[in-house]
Amino acid sequence: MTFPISSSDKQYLAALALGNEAAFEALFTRYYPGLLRYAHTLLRYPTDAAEDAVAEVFCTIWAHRTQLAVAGSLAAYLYTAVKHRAFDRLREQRRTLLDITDELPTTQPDEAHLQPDHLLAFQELSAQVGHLIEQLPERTRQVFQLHRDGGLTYEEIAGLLAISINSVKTHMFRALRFLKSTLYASGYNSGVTRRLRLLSLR
Amino acid sequence: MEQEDLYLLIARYLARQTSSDENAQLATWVAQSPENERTFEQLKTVWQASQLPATPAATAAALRRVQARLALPTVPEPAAPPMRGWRLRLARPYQLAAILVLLVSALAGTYFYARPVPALAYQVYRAPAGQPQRLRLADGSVVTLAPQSQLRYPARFAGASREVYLEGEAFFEVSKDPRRPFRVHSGAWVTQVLGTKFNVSAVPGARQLAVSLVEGKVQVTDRQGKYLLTPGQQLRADVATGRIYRQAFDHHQVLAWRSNQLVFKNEKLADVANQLERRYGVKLVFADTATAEVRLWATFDNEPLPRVLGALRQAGGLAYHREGQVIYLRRVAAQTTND
Repeated sequence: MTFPISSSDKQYLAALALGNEAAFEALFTRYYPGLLRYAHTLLRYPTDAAEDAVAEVFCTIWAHRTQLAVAGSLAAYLYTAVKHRAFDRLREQRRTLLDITDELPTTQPDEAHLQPDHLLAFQELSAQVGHLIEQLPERTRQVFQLHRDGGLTYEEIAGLLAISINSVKTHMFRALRFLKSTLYASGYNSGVTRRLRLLSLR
Repeated sequence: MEQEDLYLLIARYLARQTSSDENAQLATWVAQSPENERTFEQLKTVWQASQLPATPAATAAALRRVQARLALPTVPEPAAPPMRGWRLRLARPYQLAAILVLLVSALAGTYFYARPVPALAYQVYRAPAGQPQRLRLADGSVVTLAPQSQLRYPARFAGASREVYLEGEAFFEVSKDPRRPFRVHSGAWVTQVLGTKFNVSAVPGARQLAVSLVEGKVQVTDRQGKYLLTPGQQLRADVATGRIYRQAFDHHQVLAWRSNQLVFKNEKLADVANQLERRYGVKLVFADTATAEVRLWATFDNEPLPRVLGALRQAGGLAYHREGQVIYLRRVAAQTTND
């Protein structure tokens, strides 16, 4: 019994309401990585908190599969559920929400013991782009990932993050402009397969 | 069209959120000049390359945990055909074990990894937590598998090469056979040797991949190129950034696991958690950044877990409490310095 992952929201909800387990698996497989990544931006510690929050959301969805009230897209519903669960946890722990409107330093691997001339190449383009995404300011990166991974619309992102649509658009534009110009300035040429020389990007 | 509106339109198009009017508008703009077309293609490349990397194993594991909580049947459900016909042919129990292993690994392969299933009959061996395990392959090669690592290998090598598939970490002592190169597949890397001794570290979820050459000669291939190593050299990739380094390596540190030692030289707890988890079959959870960034200088020689945790508490100022196989760690005091 299989359920196509690319089914529409309506098809998913209808199948879930009937208790279709394959539909639940497909839903999980499709949305889990993006949701986990989003949850991590809200719940860094303890290190299993993000996984737990997302798992709980899916458990609740299954438990209430016959009564899901989804106004809008399924993606937005899931991301919002994760946000609420994360906030609940933070309240329980009486921690303050990481204020991600501040520009946090992006995490860099500890390179103190590695010499620059040993750096050979980026394994593949996606790794280089992934590296560039990590350099974006936290909020900009979050907006980009919600659009890219979750497929949320600008309105949905604005609602989720409680910022204006104009803000979302500005972040998205900045991200695209930075990624495109940095990638192509570094000498990447889509027609040729060759080793990329690392330029200092800071 | 304003540059910002344009970029956003293109992004929405790539996210399949545009109306047919907008698609027509975009198509017209792209057709207007080669420069427009180039802009579009470049943004499309960025978009495609920024796709969230799939983690089929991690997602599947998380799904199984959720299904267990909900008391749903977990995937995959191996088909259980009536075994009557088979039972007649199987004289000895170990043959049955080999066939079941093949069935499970083939299902796992098609469901999660979509790797081509080789025509040879492959077996899968997974080392349990605790001790490294030695395997002897059909050609006489010896593979020492780290705890909780997994090797897929054929019962017999046939054809022009010897191919095995590794998930985790292993030390290879490969029999020389010039006619048949020995190749280790680990994620996106293929390490090719003729006959030699080397270590491959390709643990799912780890922050680094590495091939370390002790003796002989290897060539590591990935999607973009080939890298040659000489003895004493290591090829290392940082998973988060994709950067690849070639450098000398500390033999003791890289190979200590074979004698069941754990060697940490000024490494952050978060970076070595993986090794501890595999060695003892536990899961470590850190309470906060301060805990995750505690640095360790230590050598643990076949110590039981309580001793290791005791050392972490004393030297690292880490408090812990254990619930079954999960260990919760929290830094409570400044680290003591060595006298």
